[in-house]
Amino acid sequence: MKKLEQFLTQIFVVGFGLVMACIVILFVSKEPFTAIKYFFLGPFSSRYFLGNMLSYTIPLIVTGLAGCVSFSASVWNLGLEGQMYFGMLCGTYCAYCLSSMPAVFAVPIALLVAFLAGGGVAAISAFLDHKMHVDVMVSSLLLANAIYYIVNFVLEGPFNDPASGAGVASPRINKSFMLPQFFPPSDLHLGLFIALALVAVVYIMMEYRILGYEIRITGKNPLFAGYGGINTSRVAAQAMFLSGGLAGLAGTIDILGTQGRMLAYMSGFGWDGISIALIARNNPITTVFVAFFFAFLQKGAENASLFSDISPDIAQIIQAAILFLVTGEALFDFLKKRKRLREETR
Amino acid sequence: MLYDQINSFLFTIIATSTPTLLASLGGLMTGLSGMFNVGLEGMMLVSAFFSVYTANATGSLILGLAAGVGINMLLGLVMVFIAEKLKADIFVVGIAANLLATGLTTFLGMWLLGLKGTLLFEKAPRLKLLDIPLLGDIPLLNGLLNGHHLIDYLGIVLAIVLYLVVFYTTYGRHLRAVGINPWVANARGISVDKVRYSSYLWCGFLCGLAGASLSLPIGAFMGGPIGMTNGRGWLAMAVVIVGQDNPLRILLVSWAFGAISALADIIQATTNFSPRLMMAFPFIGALLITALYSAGKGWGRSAANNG
Repeated sequence: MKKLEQFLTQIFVVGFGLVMACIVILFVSKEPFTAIKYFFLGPFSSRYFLGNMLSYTIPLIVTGLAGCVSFSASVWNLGLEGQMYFGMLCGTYCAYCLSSMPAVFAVPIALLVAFLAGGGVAAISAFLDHKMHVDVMVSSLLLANAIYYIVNFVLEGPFNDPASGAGVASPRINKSFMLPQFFPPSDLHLGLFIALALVAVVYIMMEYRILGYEIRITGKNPLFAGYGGINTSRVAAQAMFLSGGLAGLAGTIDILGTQGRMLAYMSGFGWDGISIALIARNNPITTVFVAFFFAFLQKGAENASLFSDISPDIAQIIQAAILFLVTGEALFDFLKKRKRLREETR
Repeated sequence: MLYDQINSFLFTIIATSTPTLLASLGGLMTGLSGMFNVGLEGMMLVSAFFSVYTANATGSLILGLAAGVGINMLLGLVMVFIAEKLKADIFVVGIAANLLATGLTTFLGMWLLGLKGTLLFEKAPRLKLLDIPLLGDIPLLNGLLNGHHLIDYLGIVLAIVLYLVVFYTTYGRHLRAVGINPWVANARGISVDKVRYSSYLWCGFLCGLAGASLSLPIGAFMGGPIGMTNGRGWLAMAVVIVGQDNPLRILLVSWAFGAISALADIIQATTNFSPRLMMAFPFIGALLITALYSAGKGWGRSAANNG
């Protein structure tokens, strides 16, 4: 019953978000119906837009998973963006250095390095938590901000391609390392299946493996877990490392699939991953759908801004509105009470 | 010479630490009531936008300040309403507030001004540096305390006022009681709802001032994921942890954090160390301070852990 109510809340809140989107568009747009049409139908209107939306979903799924793993253990890793950014840099640099190697070896090595780099940043937070009792939330956020500037420094100086023509960017990696794109003319790439495989791995780990069980128990009730003989601080550190590693993977998969080089900008995939995991209630399978929905909102808004007069940032406003309400356990009770009140006063 | 340099260094600390100080005082008030607000960064951004926009539109600083603070208090009320009445997780609500702030300010910038990135408000009156004649005669204090913005002074005064409120008034006792155990507080006849709503009003008010202190002196607004707040909301969370539930300690800690920023500025100006790399310095310094402090103290008792 509880599960059903949570599911209904999720559906209701998403619907509410979409209705709010329409209202905002009606309010600010000069041609609201065109804007709404492009917002909702644009991403599905051609192979190009559909493929790009799915391609945008890929890193969101992986950062969403990263959020799920740490949040399940009640480890509030809010530094996903920093872990992703650092993982991206290391993965791209590694792929760049291994240019002469065959892709079969170089790509897995680059992905592994990205995983370890992202996980390494997360491990700093885990270490500070374990040894010095620094709140993971605060340390991961501070690290994310520091990393943003450090990575940009590297991209502007030592690892920069002055002739990139795309703002501050790294040199291109070897073309043969790129994950094959299979849905032309869009840039949807093989990373989709890597992401879905990761979903399966995380799902199996969380549901059927001992570590997943330990993570969930530690998240629900650390005291109980401790009495049961689980080393909760070890479990929390493991969850943190996995989470950072996944975040590192997310950015690198995107680079190997689409850009082929690292651009100095905040992609925001890490921040989105936090929201996605929270809305999906740490369920890896639901994460796929929420990530797709976020990609739809983003691409729909971009589409509406391309063919009409809506600023693409409306996507973030809707995501925020959903996030505001989605954990509202008493949402339905509240609505029912209001209805009863209105009937009584009538 | 050295004396002058030290004096100007201390002066810079007071000037740069104001937004962090105000935001962490806001975070403290919510933490004391047991519902720590992780949306400090977002709240500051919202106020930074609305205050300078209103100041530009009306030509009045007071109205600008009132708009920034007012919108923020409204946002605080909405947040606590969703958490208390709809039983939502206040942590998630805080994250939603951050997301909303980035999206909303960029969206409004596009809609109202047709611009993205740095928005200049040329008609907005600037927040002036104050010259207090009384201080003119005292050599040391004059160099240190004279010539700040109004909000800089407000920050220090509010830290002292909040210290008195938290520790020496009935309201402060109720606030702390609710944070320690809402059920017991409720049984003792304290209205938990009222206390929590009021703590978010405080937070909105303080973060509103913090945001206004960023945008009003320069008459401009920078939005986006790394906006003009530039991680000060996150720094404030670290300040609350190290400040340990005490507004006066929060004042000292945010000065310590400000000292790191000021030091970074000096290194940047006097050596050819990369300015980009220097921007990471305050965050690493804050992390080190927090780590050293927490290692000495142990955890579980700060306001940030109550939420």
